[in-house]
Amino acid sequence: MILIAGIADEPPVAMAIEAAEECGVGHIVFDQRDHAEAGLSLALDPLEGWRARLTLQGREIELHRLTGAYVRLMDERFLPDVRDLAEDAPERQRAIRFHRMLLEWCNIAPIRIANRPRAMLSNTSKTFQAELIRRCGFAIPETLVTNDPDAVLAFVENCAAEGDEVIYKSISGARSIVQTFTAADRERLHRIRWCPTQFQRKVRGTDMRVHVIGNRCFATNIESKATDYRYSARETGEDAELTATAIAPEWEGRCIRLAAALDLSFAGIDLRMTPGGEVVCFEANPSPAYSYYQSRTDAPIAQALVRWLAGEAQAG
Amino acid sequence: MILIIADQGDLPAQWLQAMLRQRLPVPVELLSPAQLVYAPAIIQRLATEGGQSGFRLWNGVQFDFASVSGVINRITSLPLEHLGRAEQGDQGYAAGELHAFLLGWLASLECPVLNPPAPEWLAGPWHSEISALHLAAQAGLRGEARLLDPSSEGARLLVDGAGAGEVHFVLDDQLIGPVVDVRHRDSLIAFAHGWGARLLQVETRKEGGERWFLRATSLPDYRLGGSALVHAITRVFGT
Repeated sequence: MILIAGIADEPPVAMAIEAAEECGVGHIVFDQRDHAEAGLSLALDPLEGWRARLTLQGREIELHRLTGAYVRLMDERFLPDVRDLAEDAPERQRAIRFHRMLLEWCNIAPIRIANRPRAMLSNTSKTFQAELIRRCGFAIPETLVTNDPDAVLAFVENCAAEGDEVIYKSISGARSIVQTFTAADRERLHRIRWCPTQFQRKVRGTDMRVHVIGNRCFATNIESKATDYRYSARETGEDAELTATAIAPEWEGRCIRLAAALDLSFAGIDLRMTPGGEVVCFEANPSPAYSYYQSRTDAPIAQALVRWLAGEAQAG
Repeated sequence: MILIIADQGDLPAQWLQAMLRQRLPVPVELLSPAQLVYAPAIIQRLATEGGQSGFRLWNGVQFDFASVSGVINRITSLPLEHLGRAEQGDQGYAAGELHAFLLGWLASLECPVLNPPAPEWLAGPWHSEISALHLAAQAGLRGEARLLDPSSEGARLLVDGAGAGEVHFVLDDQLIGPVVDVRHRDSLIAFAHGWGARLLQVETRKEGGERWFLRATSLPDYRLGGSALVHAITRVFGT
């Protein structure tokens, strides 16, 4: 039996529920919008640690008896029944405690979890991840993080001399659209004095997203003319073209190693295959919106996820 | 050079600086997070082959981190005063970027760092009270039976304040502090492994043959570990 927790009709969650039904994997759905009616208790056994019990519509579930849980919860502050409540409203305080307890349990649960909230924090720094990525055997983009405009200009000139452009993007997990550095950016470069900013030599090549689940990989090839394929339609007027593809065993192994190094059972790894044969890794997403890829390629990502959560052993 | 990154009023850091200066043949400098963050030139380069970083401070002092042989990291909060006039949304974004930069930069240092940063806390791995009690139980340290539900008020699960028990330090599998039996030594080391910190301060209370877990932190008060802890730290820095 597995738990699927999140907004039930959000595509990644809905796809996991559908896959569990298709695959005959016993599952319990906790629709996060029902949090106010749900019960949760944590009991500390002095020898075993915490045990959790979730109560949904009168049904009590001993969470440690499950085989796994897919947890894709939204920030409870923005739930429709919470967002307009006063800070000290009892309902808001209960919602905070309920979610904190559930997430705490996910961090320590003795079952398969995709993903433990603690492990997902690595995504708060791309440069933190970059060091792990490098150690796992991937190439990383040549990067400068600085608050010094002169250093940026020297970096841009150096890249330009070798025929390369420079892009800039957030260091943190804040969603930002990758931008190419242009002449207009020179005029506002003094603003980086307030905060170090990340600049990268633009890597040419074809994007690939690899979803890792346990030790299985699903690779998607992405063709797009945009700087950031997620915004391809906005930037170029054409959607990115996604196709399922195979990835060489050597790189598959490195993807699995990277996900393990980040303690992520389920990860979306962003790669770019360069014309020179390098495999450059940008980041590992700890809460991949895999439904976008599965709906365009028919790769059975959700099926693999629920089977892994159900305890299915994987080859390799 | 050994660099201690800590706030100006950090007494354990100042004490450690004095102790290390007596024992090490290299300079031991104390730098505040504000001095780092407000440096007019911060450079971090990352590439497949490796990285490098350097800071030029307002007083003209330059730090090339290739020449730093060890770092004591005690960054507990971000200096954000310079963002005070920015709009709230921009402040939040910049604070996130600054945290991300410091996390990535500290994690990239090639020299020994006590403690390396963790995504949840720049000063090193941090665990909530719930998680700490779980790790303690699994390591064989006792905790009182508890029952929590979302209606419970936010009562503390661990004892407030220091001085209620015995203080141990675990540094790279070495236990420093009061003598304990083998079973509890192994428990304390296993607990530190679970916590994930290279240097961990753990407080316990002995009662009825059992060792009860009180609290732990990866931001130690080195003074409580005395010369044995200082000696162990000097060995980490390989001097």
